[in-house]
Amino acid sequence: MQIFFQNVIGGIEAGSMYALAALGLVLIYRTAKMSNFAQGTIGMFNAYIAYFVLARTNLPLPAVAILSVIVAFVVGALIELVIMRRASSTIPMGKPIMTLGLIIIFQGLAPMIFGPVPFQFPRFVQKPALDIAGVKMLPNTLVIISVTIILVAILFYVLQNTRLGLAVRVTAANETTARLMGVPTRAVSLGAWSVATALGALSAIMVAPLTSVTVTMMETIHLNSFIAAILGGFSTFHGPVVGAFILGVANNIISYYISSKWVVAILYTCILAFTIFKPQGLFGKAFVKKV
Amino acid sequence: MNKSTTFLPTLMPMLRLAWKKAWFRYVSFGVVLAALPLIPGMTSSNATILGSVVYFSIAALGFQVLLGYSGQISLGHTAFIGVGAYVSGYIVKELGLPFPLAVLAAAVLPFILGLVLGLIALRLEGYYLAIATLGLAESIRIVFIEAHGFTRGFSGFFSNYPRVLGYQFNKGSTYVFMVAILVALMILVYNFINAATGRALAAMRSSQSAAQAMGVSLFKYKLMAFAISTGFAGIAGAMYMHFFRYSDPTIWNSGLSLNLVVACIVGGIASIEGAVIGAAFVVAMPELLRIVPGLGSINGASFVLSGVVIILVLLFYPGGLVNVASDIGKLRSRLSKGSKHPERSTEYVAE
Repeated sequence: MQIFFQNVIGGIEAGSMYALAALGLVLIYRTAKMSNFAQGTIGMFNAYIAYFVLARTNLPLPAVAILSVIVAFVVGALIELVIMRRASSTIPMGKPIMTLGLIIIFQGLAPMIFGPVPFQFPRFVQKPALDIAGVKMLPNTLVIISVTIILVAILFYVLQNTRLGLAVRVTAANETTARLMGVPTRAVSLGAWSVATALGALSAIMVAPLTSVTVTMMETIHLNSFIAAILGGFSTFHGPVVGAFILGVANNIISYYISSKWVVAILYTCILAFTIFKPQGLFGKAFVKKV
Repeated sequence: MNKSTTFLPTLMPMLRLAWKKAWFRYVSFGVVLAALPLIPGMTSSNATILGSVVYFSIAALGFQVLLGYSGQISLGHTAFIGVGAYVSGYIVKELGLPFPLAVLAAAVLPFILGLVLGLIALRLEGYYLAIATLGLAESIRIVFIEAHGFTRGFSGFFSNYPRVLGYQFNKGSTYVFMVAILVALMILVYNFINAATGRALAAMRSSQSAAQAMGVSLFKYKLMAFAISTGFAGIAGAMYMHFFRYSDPTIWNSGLSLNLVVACIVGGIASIEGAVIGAAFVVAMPELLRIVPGLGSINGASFVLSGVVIILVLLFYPGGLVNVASDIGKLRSRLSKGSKHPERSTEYVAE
């Protein structure tokens, strides 16, 4: 039983990172009506920046993390301002394809600037593991899970209870109507890009100590956050977050009890099979488009 | 000399007439392409690059059907190329079956894989296919690494040039064979998109809902486009396996899938010629950059540049490189019309 809970804790930790990334994806998907395939790659790039700031200066780790999230916030805004805003007249699918271009750019730049060697990123809390009824838990894990829960709670509060959140939800529901009603939809999508990129970067900084800082560090997280969003449904903001935690826990349990080699294949097949029966995801609503 | 002057006037109209036929253009393009390695001074490594262009063109052509004509994105197509490569290699080398059968199997297996995945992933609008293919590619990559008996894992799978009906191909003839396959597939795609299917796909691309209202079965055509693209990817893989005679799991990485997108966009979206031009761009650019002083020494410069180019093309030149020739022609005629009195304009400047 202890092993089971050990796996669940590990799954929640991984799920936290998927949740942050998935929330970023869904923010852009709902407000800008496009998929941002580059979120993971930009997060990876930010993890490199964070590592180098940490290595070159004496700043404490939390300050570096915050700094790197701010950098990501600006990068997200720049992408929206410089590229996406000007791309309104491009071909259908043009915008998501541009984010593929961004992947190529950042994936190529990272080893050029930072070198091909993987870096070890320190944990947020270096203390030894706590022992809770036989279940070992690193304080670092606790920090990751609580930061995620606090951030998600703040975001949902803003989305549901403030004028700003109302503007985002209205834009997500129908952009044209929102604009006619005086909602600054351009500012909303600028904000969505900034916040989403920042979330992606935060997720990368959380992953960095668990693996190492490499070009491919975010590939699994990014893919899993997409799959979590599919599992939870793209049509709500809370669906992907729930999906992320389910995915994280399921991943660990399958890996331990069935096969660690084939866990990815098993998990993806199960989720694909699930979408046959519920194509809109766990919390999704049927999507009707009027011509 | 005299003979040719009397011969040409009768030949030219015939040629012009034939040029209007797509198959004639593609066949002549194929003849030129097949003859390229015969140019004096062509080194063996340049011939290899040409082979690379041709194999990648086949994959890009299939991808064009998916991305250009049906408006779907796949992010895991290299997995299907890899499947084609391993399947064809295994059938020839391990089972000892004839090469044509291997190519057929390399096309059919990814085609079926595409059908099954498409049946699940294409039921929704949006980016499900992109993510489903990304997930599938990840799973298939694990198979490539782990299924040693089938792929030899990281130690790599070696194979030979094809052998058909007792004739042993060498590098040169394998290349010509690949060009022939490419031309045949170009004609196939041309006929496909100029039939009812192509019109349905075009309607679908501009507005899915409107096409559906007109009675186009979205699902059927999306599925067809996706399965064709995976089948082409499989053929490309079989060509790769029997031209380069080697495959290992690191070749079939996600960067290659992205390069397919780059090829179709930069070459020209929804254009058969565009897919081939784009494939040539993707394969040849790293080689060309090597010549540029300064840039050539930086590892991955061409990769970054292709990312920049894809964004620039989408922002400023969405038609792609395939339109360059006709646009230059238009520009020329506009310039020659606009500058009837060039000396006058200089006078104004002088004042």
